[in-house]
Amino acid sequence: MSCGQVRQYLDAWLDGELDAMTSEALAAHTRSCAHCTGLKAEREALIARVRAANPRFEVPARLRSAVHSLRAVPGARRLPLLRWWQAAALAVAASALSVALTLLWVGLPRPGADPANDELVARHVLSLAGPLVEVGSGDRHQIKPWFHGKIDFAPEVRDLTPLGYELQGARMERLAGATAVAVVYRIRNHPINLFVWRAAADGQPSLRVVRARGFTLARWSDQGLMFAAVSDVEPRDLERFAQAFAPVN
Amino acid sequence: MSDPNHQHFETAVLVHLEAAYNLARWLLGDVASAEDAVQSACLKAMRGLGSMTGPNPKAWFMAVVRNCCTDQLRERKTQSSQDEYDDDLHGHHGHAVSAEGNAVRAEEVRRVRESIAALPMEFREVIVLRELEGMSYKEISAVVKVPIGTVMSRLSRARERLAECLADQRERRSS
Repeated sequence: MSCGQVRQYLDAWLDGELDAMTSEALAAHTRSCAHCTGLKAEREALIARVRAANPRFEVPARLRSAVHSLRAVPGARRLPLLRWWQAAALAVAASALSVALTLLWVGLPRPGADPANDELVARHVLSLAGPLVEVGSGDRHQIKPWFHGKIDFAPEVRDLTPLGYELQGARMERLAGATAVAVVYRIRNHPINLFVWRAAADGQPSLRVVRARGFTLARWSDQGLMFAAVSDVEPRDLERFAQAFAPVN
Repeated sequence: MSDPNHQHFETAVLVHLEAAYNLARWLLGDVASAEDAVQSACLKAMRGLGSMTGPNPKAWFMAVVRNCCTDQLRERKTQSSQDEYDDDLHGHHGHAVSAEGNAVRAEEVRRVRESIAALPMEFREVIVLRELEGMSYKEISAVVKVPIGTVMSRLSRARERLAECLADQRERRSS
């Protein structure tokens, strides 16, 4: 056994990956070689140091619950293996849902002629086919003036970049036969359409987050304007987004 | 609770969620990307449970996670010149350190973290799988899809680099 071989097999040896005979040969050489003894001690110290530091990352709670509720994902239900889990999934989903319900659900009656979730989802899907924006800008000071003369209300455009929602631009929309606008954001490559229109009836400002056709919708109203954010992200992502806009109450 | 697929999901996926997230976070750098990768890995794993081969569910699931991560990295490369690393990785938030939280320990963890983060991906991943997940060379070989001999030489070079990097930090501090 040479010093070169010790160098080559040192790690496998320390990791217990070598057979007994090779290990013994390495040990024998190292005992009689100061250089290799030093090498081994250094490497052992390094391994111990990294393991002691144990630089791990904690699983975010929302990921944990998302994965646990994966069994209840409607799209996956087509799979035979999931059929079975629905009972189990219900238990898991129920706890998450009860929290979500108390937080979000206020049984808001849909006011007059405001567009239904289905229409919002349809507009969202259509926009994905393009064009997503008519004015493309990450600067809200460019988007706000673009609305001038096009609509009789002034939707607030917020910079949510620090929260991870990048402003992409805006476009004009028609919802339930009335003029509306869509402000487009993006989170982790998922586009979010924030539709804004004048409320057909007095809406309650409370935030609702619902799922429709596999999409997530967050709806709220503020000062006579109705807001609906639509995307294919997790409800929590849209909830966080909506909370950055929605009136605090 | 006798459905084999259900048991597979429990034993292959749910119990290894931490290991999966840890690998994804180390490979991708930021929380959101790691969450995305782990979620799609879980979906893929659910769909592929039937095709799970071999006696080692952890290695199998970790390979799925790693695939999702490399997919994301490839997408990033084609999309933009965006840095592979985000400040998150070097930041002090969101990781499992602070419990006993004295400053010396925090500083030591930060140094080790920085040194691992500075490694190229092929070295970084074997360090994470070996030192943090305690996987065997055979398991690592199944996750990274290279022969065991390659795992051995990569790990060896990775540790050398890590040692150099940690030594550099000490020199910089003392000079």
